[in-house]
Amino acid sequence: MTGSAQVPLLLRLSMAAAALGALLSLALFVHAGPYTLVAFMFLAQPLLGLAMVLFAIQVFKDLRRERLL
Amino acid sequence: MTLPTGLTTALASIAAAENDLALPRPRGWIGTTDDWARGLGIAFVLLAIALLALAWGRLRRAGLTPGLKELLILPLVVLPPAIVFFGYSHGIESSKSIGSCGSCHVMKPYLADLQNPASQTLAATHYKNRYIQENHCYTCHTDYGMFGTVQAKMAGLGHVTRNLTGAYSLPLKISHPYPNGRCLACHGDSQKFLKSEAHPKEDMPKLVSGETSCLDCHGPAHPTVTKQALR
Repeated sequence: MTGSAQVPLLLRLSMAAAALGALLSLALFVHAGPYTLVAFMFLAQPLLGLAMVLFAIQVFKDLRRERLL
Repeated sequence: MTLPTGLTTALASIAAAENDLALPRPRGWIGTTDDWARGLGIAFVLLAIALLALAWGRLRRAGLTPGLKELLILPLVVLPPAIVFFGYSHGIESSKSIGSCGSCHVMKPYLADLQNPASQTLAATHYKNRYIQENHCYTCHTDYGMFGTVQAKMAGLGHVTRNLTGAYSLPLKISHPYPNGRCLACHGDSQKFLKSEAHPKEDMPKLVSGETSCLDCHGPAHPTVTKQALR
């Protein structure tokens, strides 16, 4: 099993959103200023939230597929 | 041998920082809450990124295994709330500093005046005499009470937007008349204020209602900054 095609799209999006959100948060921690704070509040935070939601949907779909829900 | 200018500047700033640190710390000093919020925030972000990279590598090699799903819970479920918590903790605290207010180009002359010991403006007088210990801009430009901080943050968001879009005109003017309540919150109960002949008791209602501004006698609070001064 090779290649990212095997990885569910939702999971890939979730990981990408989490990575981007984490990097934007890192910018705030390294240099706290008005722009990094705004980027954190309006980009990083929603991205991290989106990552959690997408992961939860993926888990829910997996559980439904396995008939555990 | 002469050192490059950039290196000289960097060394000078390191020396200045060391001078700041030369102040004796209290016994058992382990940093401020903000230092810890920042440190933990960086640690959690780096951990999240490392785990995501590790998981991505495993995903490409072996696909989605049950063990990998469990591993992903950490960077996708557990760490994001912690990062957001420490981000707000550090970000909100840092946004109160004069460095944060002065980070926009248009505010630099105000910051320069504030830190100029020779300046006679009200802001500079408060700064050089340390009438306010820290967060000098924020302390005078925030209403006290439960919603003061929220209002200040909303106003700050407006300032960032206007600075980004250039939707402001010079000289800058305060959007509302400066409320005396912010001055009186510190000075109102001080004996120096109460016993001063310049503040007779019969004038107090006018000061409290805002009919007379503190700045009428004690201004200007800041220098008037023109376009030329900003260049």
